[in-house]
Amino acid sequence: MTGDYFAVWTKLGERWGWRVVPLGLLFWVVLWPVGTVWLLVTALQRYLALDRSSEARTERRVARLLSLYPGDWRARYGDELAELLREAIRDGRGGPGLTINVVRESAATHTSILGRRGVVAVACCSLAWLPIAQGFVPLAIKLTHGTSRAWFLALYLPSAYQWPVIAAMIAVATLMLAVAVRATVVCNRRRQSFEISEPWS
Amino acid sequence: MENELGALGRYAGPATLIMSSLAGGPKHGYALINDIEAFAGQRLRPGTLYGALARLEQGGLIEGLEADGRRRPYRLTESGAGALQAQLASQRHVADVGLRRLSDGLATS
Repeated sequence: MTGDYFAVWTKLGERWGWRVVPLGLLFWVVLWPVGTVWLLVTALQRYLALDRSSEARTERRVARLLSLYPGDWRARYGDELAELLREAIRDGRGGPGLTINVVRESAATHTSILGRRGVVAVACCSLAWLPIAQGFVPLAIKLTHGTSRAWFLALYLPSAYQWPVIAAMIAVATLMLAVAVRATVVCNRRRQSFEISEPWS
Repeated sequence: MENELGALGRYAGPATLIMSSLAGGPKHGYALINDIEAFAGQRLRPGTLYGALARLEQGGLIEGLEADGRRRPYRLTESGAGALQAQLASQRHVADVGLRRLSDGLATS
């Protein structure tokens, strides 16, 4: 068995399935210094083993750029775009402008496939942890009569405002999660209809 | 039909160039880039080209043909030809008005 961190965990995942998740958590909680050194050694090994020929570098860059696009889109246009990217790099047109162009266009592709609702769903999912933390943690601190205020807004307010702010944070968090779930459902429906119709299938 | 290309927003420019190139016959990505550079003096970047191609194909304005290795040629559909004609006529009208006003302005100054 190779000592590569990712290879080891992938093999364990294949053998033990979901049980590898608690095992991984336990490993990082108990043996995090070992994990950190192991990760650094793996990164160094991978860096030293890299093929540094210009063709290999081009292939790695093309693969990185293509990975920015959604899977469905890549399945349809990936080979053609990869060929053009290789030609652009070979012709000396592979400067940072090429990367910026692909990053911008791939983002636009994600947005057009997700639609406005998808963007809302992603934004709500990404930001909902803020009101969740600002609502439930001060709630727990208040209920247990804790004294720590940390970075929880409600606990810095006069006591008359603390419960309303906690309630408002929980309400905002619930609303954001509800919007995210609703938008995800609509988005999945839209995505399925996209996949059924050519040319995205 | 007039709004089909306009609805592509910032892709309307690359889309018009791509469809004008395809009006001369089917082409794959690399040939499109070279042809557009030859007749418009503008070299589309790969990301822009494929962003526009995907939107045009999704809108039924162009269609992909059988792939030749890793290269797939595209051709204009009937509705694409109509949309291109409407777009070019609209651009010609704008160009005519602009040029006429410019020459009128130069004549009076």
